Amino acid sequence: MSRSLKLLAAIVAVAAIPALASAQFTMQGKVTDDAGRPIAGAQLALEGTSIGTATNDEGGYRLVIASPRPGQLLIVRFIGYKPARFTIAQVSGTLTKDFSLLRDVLQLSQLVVTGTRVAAEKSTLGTTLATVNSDAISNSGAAQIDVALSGKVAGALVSQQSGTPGGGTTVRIRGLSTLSRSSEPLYIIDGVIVDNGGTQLIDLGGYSSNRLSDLDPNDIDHIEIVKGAAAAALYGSRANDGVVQIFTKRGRPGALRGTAKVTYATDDAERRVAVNRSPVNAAGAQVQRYDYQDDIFRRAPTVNGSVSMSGGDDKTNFYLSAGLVNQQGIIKSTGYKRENLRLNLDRNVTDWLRLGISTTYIHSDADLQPNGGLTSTFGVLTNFLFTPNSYSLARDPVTGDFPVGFANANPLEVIANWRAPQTIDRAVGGLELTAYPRQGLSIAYRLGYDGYTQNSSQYVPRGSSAPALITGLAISATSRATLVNSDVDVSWITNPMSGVKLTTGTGLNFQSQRFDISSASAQDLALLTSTVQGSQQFASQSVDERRTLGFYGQEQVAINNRLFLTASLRSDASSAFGKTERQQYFPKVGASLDVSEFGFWQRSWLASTVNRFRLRAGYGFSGGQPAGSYQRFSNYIFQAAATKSGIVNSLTQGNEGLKPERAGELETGFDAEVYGGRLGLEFTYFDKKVRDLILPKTVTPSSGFTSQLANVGELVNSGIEVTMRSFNVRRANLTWNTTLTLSTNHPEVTKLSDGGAFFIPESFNVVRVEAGQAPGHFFGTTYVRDAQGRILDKNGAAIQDASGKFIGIPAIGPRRIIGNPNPKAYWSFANDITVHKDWTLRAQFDGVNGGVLFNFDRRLLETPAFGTGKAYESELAGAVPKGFFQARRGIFEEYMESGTFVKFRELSLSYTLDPRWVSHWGVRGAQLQLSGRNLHTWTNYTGWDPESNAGGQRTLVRGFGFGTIPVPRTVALGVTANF
Amino acid sequence: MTSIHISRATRTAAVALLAGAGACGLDLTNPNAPTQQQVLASSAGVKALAVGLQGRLGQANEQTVFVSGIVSGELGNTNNSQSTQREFQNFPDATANAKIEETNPELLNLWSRNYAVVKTAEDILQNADKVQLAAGTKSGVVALAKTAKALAFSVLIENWQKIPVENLGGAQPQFVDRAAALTAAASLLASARADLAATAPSAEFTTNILGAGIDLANTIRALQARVALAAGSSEQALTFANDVPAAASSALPYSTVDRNPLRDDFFGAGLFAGIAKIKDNAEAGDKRLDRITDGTAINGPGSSKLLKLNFYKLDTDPVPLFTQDELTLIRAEAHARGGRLASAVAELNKVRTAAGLGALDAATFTTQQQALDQIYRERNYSLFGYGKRWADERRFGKIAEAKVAFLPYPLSERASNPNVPPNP
Repeated sequence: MSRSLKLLAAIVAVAAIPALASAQFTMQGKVTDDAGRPIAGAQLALEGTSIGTATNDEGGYRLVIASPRPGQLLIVRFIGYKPARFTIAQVSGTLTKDFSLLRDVLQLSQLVVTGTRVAAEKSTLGTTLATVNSDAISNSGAAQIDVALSGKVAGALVSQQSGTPGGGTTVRIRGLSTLSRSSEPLYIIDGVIVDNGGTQLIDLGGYSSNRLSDLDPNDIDHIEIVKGAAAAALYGSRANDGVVQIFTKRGRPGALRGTAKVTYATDDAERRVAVNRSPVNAAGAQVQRYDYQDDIFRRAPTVNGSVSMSGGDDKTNFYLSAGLVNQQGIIKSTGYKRENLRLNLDRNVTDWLRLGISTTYIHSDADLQPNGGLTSTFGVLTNFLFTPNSYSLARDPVTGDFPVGFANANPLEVIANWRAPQTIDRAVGGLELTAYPRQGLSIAYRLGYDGYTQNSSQYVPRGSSAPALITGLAISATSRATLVNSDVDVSWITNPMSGVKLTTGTGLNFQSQRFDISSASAQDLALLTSTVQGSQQFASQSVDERRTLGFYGQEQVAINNRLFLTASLRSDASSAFGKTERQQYFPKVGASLDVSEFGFWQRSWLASTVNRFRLRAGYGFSGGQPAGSYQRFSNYIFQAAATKSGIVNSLTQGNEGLKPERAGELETGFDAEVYGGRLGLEFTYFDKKVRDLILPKTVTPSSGFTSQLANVGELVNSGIEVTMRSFNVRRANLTWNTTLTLSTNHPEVTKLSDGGAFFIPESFNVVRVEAGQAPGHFFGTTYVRDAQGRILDKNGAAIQDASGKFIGIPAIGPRRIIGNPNPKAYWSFANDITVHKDWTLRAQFDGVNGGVLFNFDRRLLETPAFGTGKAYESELAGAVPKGFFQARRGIFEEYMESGTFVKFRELSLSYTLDPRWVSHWGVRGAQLQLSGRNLHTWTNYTGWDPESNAGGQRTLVRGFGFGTIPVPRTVALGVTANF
Repeated sequence: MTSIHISRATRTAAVALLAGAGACGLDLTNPNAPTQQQVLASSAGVKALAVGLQGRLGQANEQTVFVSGIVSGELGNTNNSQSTQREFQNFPDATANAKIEETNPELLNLWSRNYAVVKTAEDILQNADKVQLAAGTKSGVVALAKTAKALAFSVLIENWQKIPVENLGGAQPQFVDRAAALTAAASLLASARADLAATAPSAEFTTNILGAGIDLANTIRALQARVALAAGSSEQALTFANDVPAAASSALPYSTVDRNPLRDDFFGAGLFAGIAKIKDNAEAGDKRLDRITDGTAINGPGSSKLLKLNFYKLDTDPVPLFTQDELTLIRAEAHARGGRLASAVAELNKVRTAAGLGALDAATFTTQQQALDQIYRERNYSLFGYGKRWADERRFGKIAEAKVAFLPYPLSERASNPNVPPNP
């Protein structure tokens, strides 16, 4: 008899047991922090039941327990604080009880969701798990959640690939885990699996936005980041790249409370490239020079407003919010607008049954423009690079027409006339029903839905400045995505003997996703139309659907609250796996030992310094599903022959043995709390080996196939992660906290199919993968050097004289590996200071060390045919030999630049107004906030931005600087009012 | 086995419960493309394969034309950066660093496109009996498949010394020599001819499957002549060539949707142009030059002198499967090799007269070699751009001994098949 059926029968049976009725007991009081300040939003929960509440803005709470049992435990929790516990003795009447929560420097008592659906305390896990709270996100000044995570989590490298408003961010957790799939983590919002696709529906140069940008950061309560295979039992074959679980704000009981927040911000490009100011051109003729960056970049305003309301009684709570963003991009004619609405409802149906509903609706409109140059050459910045700055691009004052572009398009005409709007309509909803039929047992059912329609269009009018698009181009592409997850989870806590606690979890998860993409385009447009109307029309459609069914079981043994052992097994079957490999198993084990709980520690001299010391280790497996749902099939594809429609076999052979990529990860480390909770240190070492990487494998071509996707590759990532938090000063009128995160990673591809190397498509045959090397390294032409390292010309003479002056023209050497874009380490350093309860200051610096960037922009800027860069002046002035730059542009080694940088990521100063000043307007409290983001970059990189990348969301094309919009510098002023 | 059954039962039950009733399983089909199972087991699939096969013939021909053209100095690269194609240009004028790498993607393309033709032909041949087809449709698709397969073999064996012709797609197919490959091609053609003779193709085949402009029966005969000539059976070639009526023609048709791929190579992307020697060495008044080039000179990479081409200028231009000039020159060659020099010159003169050139005096041809040299020369002009020149150089002994006459084998074939012979 199958286990799942029994389980479902059990749900039905136990759900029918009525709860015992008895007298009513009320608890009330206040929750404060160790400095005596009220904590709003602290959670109070009666263990093992659905009964609970949260504190209001003044820290007050009132909890009515309809049928109390003596001995029940009330737990008070708030992120960043150690929980307080209170055992109920009374069964009737009213009790006033205040709680004071202590700061938790290690955040070990944080409840997290990892092995089973029922939250576990972090201290019981054999693995680390990072939590980021709402303040850290809403104070970051970032308009997107993923951007806000930058620097907050050790082991997660967050980089904004493009300064385009509304997206283009990648999150890499513990390095790359694939060479063929998207390497983005799995995102879960309130239990709903959501899509974070970065699909480019139309080609705007390679970069694209990612769908997480649809969410309003103001709605976030906290975020948990599950980093590795060893921690990810819940998501099995989808967890190779990590899991980001986002929890939105829930309602709090009490009177209706509202918050309104308005922010005005301005963005600009921090750096410009220096342009050629030479009065002559290569032919020696007098020319006028322009700096078209002035016509392309702008200081762009953003208005961001949000309103939220929350309230409820002891049965029902709600959270309602609405948000609005209107942002202009730093490239003229680009922008982003978003409107979002959220309603979260919680209802205690009975004291053993709880219902939770989360819904959100989002509409966004982005105005994009092509940029970046890996696939499209029509971009604004791309054409800035491809046009000599002596070429006049300005609109003809008489005719009003723009001159035809020098090479591909006139960037000023692109700004003036080209349009690429993108609209999103998205609804995300979740329903969760949790039953607590008896002490220690909980059964939850969850249904999640994420559906969106994304439309991307591009309109290039007839008569455009691009010679290749003189008759115009109109494209409209629509993607309809539907993701559904349906889960049943059972958790059971028992105490078989004194000091031993067993937590058993098991569940079934069903996930389905469907993407339906259709595209229509037209060329040879009618004049003045801006839809797909033209004499040449093309349309296409594709559908991708997959289903995954998983089940898991987990057992955790807690012994005397100091040793925790966990073992679990996850099994997934996916329609994307081949028939012979359908069922996949992912086991894991973990252990956590609180050494400081032992007598020997407490008696030793160490105990006075190190209050708490925990050792942990975990080993486990997770998977990565094939990129395409139908890659296991031997597909037959359309082949036209003379207006008749035929089919032929695809040259890629199917593989019914295709299975997920499989990561095995060991992680081990310790958590230490030092100096009476003033300093916390978290140290982790990880070693992740991903086997069965899905790559095209050559098959004997005489078979009529040329390749087959197969599980052939291997890669490893290993490194350390350190998080250090300290509470430097904690006084009533001054607090000062410091947070430092540091991560290292050493990635290496250890095995490829046929032992060979391959180039990544759309990388100009420069980005490459080779066994024994870092993934996605740069491979290209080099300088020819002598034994002393001097650069030689083609006759073998040094090109520089003793003074360093260039006297020769460099020779082009053979292609070899010239750079590795993967950073060696990345870190973040943040300080939070509060003065007199009303002033708070936060400053965060993020840094990346090592890694090489390909400054393709510089190559084009100094290419004589364009020569817009300042460097080329020297050849025009005769300071370097004629032909020097024409030769140098062929040597890609020259354009490898250090990717090391430090960014002043966040600065935020906020002031809480005295409530007395604002109270007569019905406002209970107000806050003013001045914040800055990406205020300064310290780097030797000479391009616009060391962080942006023409590769966009792509897995392997990293650090490629080619016409990509830099990440803007933002200064914002905001007002928040509570009423 | 038991455990598999349990997990399957679990899965089915769970999917039904979690996803709602009924049709939700994990065995999803691909809505974007049919699978092997769907295609090979249906008559619609087999008929569609026969259409697709004609498309594949065109793709294989594109690669054949350019490789043969570049290697034999008929076509040249217009651009310095076409490094993989330029490897063919330096070959086989073997200097130390001018060789074609086994990893050259164009080398693999020539190999794999021809074997893709064979694969589709095999798909038809192995399944035509298993699906419901009208007799005339079946004879048509089977004859077409055999013809395409024979054509692919005959092209492959002009580029590589040995090729596999059997057990393709199986484990480690054996390579056979030129004679065996040509025998295989010849017997496929004979069999195709017999199929058509036994059952005339249906209207369904000739209208809905076969491309307009393709004369399958005469293509088979012309290919029989071509293959026989390559195999050295010149008398047989003469017979086959004589079987083709003087008015017959056959060409792969193209449309504005399914476009002539060589048009893009020549004029769209502009990868290739003619080598100027063809014009420089031409006799005055040769009308065949008008087909070859419009006379515009192009400076190629290095100091190469190129000519703008003048055929396949439209997306819809058809690509001949054979021409009457080819058949005439096959007859001329068969006569010459058979020692009938006067008959050979008579055939030659048909081609020359049509080209606006003066007839040659048979009396001036005293040796067989003289006649063969003249035939080679006329073939260069009449069959320019049809991918024949490299094979001609070999058959007429125009490749100097020191030079390599065949291509190296693609690395991916070698990597997975130990039977691949050593490179020449």
